[in-house]
Amino acid sequence: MAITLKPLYPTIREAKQRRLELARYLQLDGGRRLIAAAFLLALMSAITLGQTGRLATQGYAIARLQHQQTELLRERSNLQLRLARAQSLQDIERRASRLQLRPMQYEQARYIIIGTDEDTAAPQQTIPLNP
Amino acid sequence: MAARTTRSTVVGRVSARRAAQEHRPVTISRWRLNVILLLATLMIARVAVHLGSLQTGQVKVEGHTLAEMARAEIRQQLAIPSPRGVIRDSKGNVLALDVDLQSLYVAPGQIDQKTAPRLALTLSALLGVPSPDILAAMQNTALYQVRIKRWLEPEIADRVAALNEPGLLLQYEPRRVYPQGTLAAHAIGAVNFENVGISGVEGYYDTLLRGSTGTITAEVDSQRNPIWIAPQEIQPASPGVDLQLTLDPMVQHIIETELKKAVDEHNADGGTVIVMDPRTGAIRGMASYPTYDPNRYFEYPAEMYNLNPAVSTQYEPGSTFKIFTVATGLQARAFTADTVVDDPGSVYRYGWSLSNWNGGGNGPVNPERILYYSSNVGALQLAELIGPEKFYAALEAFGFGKPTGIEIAGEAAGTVRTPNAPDWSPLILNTNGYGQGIAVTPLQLVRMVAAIGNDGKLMRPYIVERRCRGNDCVITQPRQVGQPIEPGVAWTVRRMLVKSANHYAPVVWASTTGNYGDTWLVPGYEVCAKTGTSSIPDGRGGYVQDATIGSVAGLAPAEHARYAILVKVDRPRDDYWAVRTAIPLYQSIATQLLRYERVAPDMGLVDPGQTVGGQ
Repeated sequence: MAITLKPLYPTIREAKQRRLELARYLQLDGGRRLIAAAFLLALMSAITLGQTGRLATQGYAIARLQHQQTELLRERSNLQLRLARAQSLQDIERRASRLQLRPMQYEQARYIIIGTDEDTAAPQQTIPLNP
Repeated sequence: MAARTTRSTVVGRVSARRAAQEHRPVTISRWRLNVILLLATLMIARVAVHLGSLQTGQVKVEGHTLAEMARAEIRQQLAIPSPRGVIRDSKGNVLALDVDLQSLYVAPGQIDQKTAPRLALTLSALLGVPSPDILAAMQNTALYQVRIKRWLEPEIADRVAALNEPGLLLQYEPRRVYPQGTLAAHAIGAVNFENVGISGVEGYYDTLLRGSTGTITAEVDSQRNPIWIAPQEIQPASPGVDLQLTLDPMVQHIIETELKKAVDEHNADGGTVIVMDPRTGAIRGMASYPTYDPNRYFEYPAEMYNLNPAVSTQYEPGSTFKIFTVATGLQARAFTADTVVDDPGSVYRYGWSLSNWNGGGNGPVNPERILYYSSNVGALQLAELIGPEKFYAALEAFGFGKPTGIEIAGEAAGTVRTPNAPDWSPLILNTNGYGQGIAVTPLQLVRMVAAIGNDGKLMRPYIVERRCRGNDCVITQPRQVGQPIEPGVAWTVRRMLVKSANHYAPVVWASTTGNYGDTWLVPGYEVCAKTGTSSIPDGRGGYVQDATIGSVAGLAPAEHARYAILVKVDRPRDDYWAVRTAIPLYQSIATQLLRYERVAPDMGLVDPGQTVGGQ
């Protein structure tokens, strides 16, 4: 069996040599600026993408809120409608008669006349109607 | 030999040429190559130009560049609706508002046709639409979407949604709703399906009530929701103006109830009541009957919802106009309250016989008695004393013959023939003196009476109290537009009208008191009233023989009047005379209004057998 013996020392030396030469590879001259520009561009793109994403998310949140607002406004107008119907004199009259309430009779009215500044001497009068 | 030689030579040449042709490469001449190259270059250039055109938007399809079409797919202009303004009465009750209600559509393509008949029956029961109509809509697959019913009540819409049937679509659509139904319908007006006000306040203030629709231009998703990626262009909507009317709901309720009762009782064609505040010109109530429900205006004849009889209908006012004749004569100093004219019952003027309502004479009468007896002969003589110049100048000063300017669509001007008109004759002055031969609107007449109750100050009538856009409100200020008569003249006429009112009172009270003499029309109060039984023009220069318009104009109370009232009953069938058709209506309305206004009665103004607030 043939064995090739190679001294360890030169291998280490070569490795050292390669390590020393590595810096030369990193000396990119003009290319370094290009890479920096590309990196900057990528960074800006990532930031823009992130911002756009956030904007879109917030936009959808706003759209959801607007939808909620529309729903609430619809509910409000429906409640306004129910309130207006409940306050209509016809409805009040109907409910009053259902409760067996009856209109005030004329003889039930009493008028209290309160003297004004001009006739302060005039006492308060109560007028009974239709004695 | 030569011939042989020649033949062999020729054969040899042909063979040689064939051999040469077989081995010689095909060549194309240079000019041909150049032509091909040129053609190819042109084609490439054409393609390049076309590509460039596509990219730069030069190519148009149906008038739009491809770039525009592409942009339109994602960037759209969406409308921002502006709700129509709310209309309220003077107490803040809502009379008209916009409500989003759901409408039901079907998409026939998504309906399971096997179960369609059953679904149609179910929907029919919920919506009240005939099931064959619904089924026909469901089977009409030629259409993508068919509307079944607009504007469902929320409860019904919920029940339809609960069916959870594919192919049933509920979409919100704004609807103008009038929650009080027929209350003040003629004054408020109506809005058509295009959201345009067509009558009343809705029509007059249509532009303000509608506001303006806004727009948002933005990139949208598949549901047409704006995506907030690119900058948006927003043109905000301007909401409609809210209106608060001067109408008092209680006054309106009283006059509508009483008017309906009177029209039904006398089997009349219709009627009108206006209640105005004499001090400001504010309209507190305005009713006409028959009326309509603005929520379903389309179910009524067009003239019903297009016109408000209180401001759009002209009529000859009849004897109520004698108030004007007396007031004008006193103001013009053409006569005094003590001036006496003879009333023989009928007189001849310019070949025509002019008579009193009953043909009977009243003898010597002063202006007060002319009003009291409603003497046509006396009134026409007063008009003669005034003279055409002052008479027609006063008509103009009182605002007759031109619209009052109230904020209701379709107001009529009235018809006044002056001496400048080609068809005017002195006879017209005579008939005008007792309210015939002139056409006025009910509003013009009540305004004239209001001026007498307001010491001669003529106010501009108005029905909109305030206009608000958000918290920014414009309040209508009462505006005096003239003073056709002096306060003293107004007071004199009021005193005359109190006596005239008491003269009519037995119509209401005689059955209770047994007294057919003058008594208090509204016990506890002095009120002014003057009746008018107007003949109706037949359109051929004469008058309808068997029909009249009964009306009463007055003030309640007579001094410091809170209300100027006009009641009008059109063509009553059971009685010809206003005193029997319109006076009970006037009396009932005045009584209820004074009680509502909490005006204390004077017990010295109650005759035996009468009750305050009674009858």
